[in-house]
Amino acid sequence: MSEPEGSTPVPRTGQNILAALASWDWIVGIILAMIAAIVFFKTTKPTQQHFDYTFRIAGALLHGQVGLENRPPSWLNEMVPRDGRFYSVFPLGAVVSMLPVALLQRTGWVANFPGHWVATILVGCIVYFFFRLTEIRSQPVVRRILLALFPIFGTWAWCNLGFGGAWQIALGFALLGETAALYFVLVRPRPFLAGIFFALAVGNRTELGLTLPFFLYFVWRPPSDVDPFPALAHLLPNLRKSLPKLIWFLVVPVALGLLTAAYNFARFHSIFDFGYEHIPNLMREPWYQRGLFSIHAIRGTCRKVCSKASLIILISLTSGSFRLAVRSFSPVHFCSSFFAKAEDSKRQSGLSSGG
Amino acid sequence: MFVLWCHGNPGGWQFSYRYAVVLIPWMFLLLVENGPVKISPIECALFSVSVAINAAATYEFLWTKPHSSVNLRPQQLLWALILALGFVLSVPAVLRGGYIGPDYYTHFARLTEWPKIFDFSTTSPPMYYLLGHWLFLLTEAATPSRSRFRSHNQL
Repeated sequence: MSEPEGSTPVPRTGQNILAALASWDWIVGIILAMIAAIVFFKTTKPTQQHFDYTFRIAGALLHGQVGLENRPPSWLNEMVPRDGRFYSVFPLGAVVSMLPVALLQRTGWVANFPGHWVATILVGCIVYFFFRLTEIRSQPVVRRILLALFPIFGTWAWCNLGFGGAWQIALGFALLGETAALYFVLVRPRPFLAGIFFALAVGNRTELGLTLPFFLYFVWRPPSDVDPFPALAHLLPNLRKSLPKLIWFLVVPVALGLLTAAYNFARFHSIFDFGYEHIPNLMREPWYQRGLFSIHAIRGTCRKVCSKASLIILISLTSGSFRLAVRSFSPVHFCSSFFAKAEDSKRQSGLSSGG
Repeated sequence: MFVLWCHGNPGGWQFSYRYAVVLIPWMFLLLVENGPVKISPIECALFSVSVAINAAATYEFLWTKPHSSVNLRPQQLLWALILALGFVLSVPAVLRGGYIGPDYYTHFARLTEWPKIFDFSTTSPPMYYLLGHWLFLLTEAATPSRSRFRSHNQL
């Protein structure tokens, strides 16, 4: 069974122009991605690069182990000790994503976790796919470039990916996976490739499994389809016609799901147990009093945001430091502080600050 | 979005709400499909503001000292002065043959616990403990918050 390509919208001007446009887009996308990667690399400092959970487990995986035999460094306090080994609570997809880097370490190309480089490459790829995703609508190239740069440099992704820790890298892989999967279902329908990237996204952020219905819909009914919701009478034949595409899309995600279940079972003797609750003392934290997920957490999140803003104002008023007051009340700083929900873990650990 | 909000920990050390990074592609699709075909001045201005805010955040978080927006230097200075004063006082006390006796914890509790300050069964007058309690409160207030937050729980 060969992979179906779906129905790509073809401009009226003909196939040659389409090909020329595609190659031109490809070049612009690559150049833009490289510029974005360089800017990102030069403007960020990986202060959390030493939180390399997935990199270490990927290294162990290369030796046929799903956990570490030796006690990890003290700052990796999310490692779960069990049966004489130490396991990471990251899902299998996040670990597999790090396998190429672990291979580089094994061959001696890198010594430690190159979080900064990984984040930079991710940013380049993300910008490339966002640029290509703008093909979904005909518009000037300037606007397309701005739109492609916006998701990284116009949002909190810039700063957070810049930390370079395992948590942020996993988010970066998820973002890349989602974007590329959308590209391969909406712009250039390739169900199998879309499935690979969707698996990359879900493998790094499990909650993205919730977006599966949307992707299945896009695979079933691409945007070029003039009739997004066929009549009920045509539903079954239509689904039958799209079945190969859906199968191609689901092959890799289903395989990853099964492997993840096996990975979970090997670590915690349950296919559904990702191990988060086994992190030492985690469930004693006040914000987990009602479990990992709770509707009450929404209130706590809002309270943290408000207390953060009021704390900054209070300190500004009481410290007597004019400079601090000016900084805190400047619009940019106030905005960034208001939306920041940073906690004081950096101060406590003394590690993530890089000094 | 709702599922993300329900997570007990909103993300640890971060700028803004990092979990929402996974929502960006969907927001992007809305922008691409619904914005004007040609770039408008408002769109350009908003883009510039967005980049400026995030550049400032990137600088603050990655290139400055830990969380400078809640810098507690005056309080830390006071705390250091009190500790230094305590050290200076302890030197002559040690030279005089001072030592920590078995009743240390009894006296310490009278300094730190309010109900025990006015315990008239002690040899020292309550004013002695009251002054000590006031100093204790002062140092406690001056101490940077001993947060229970840690570097984990960020997944």
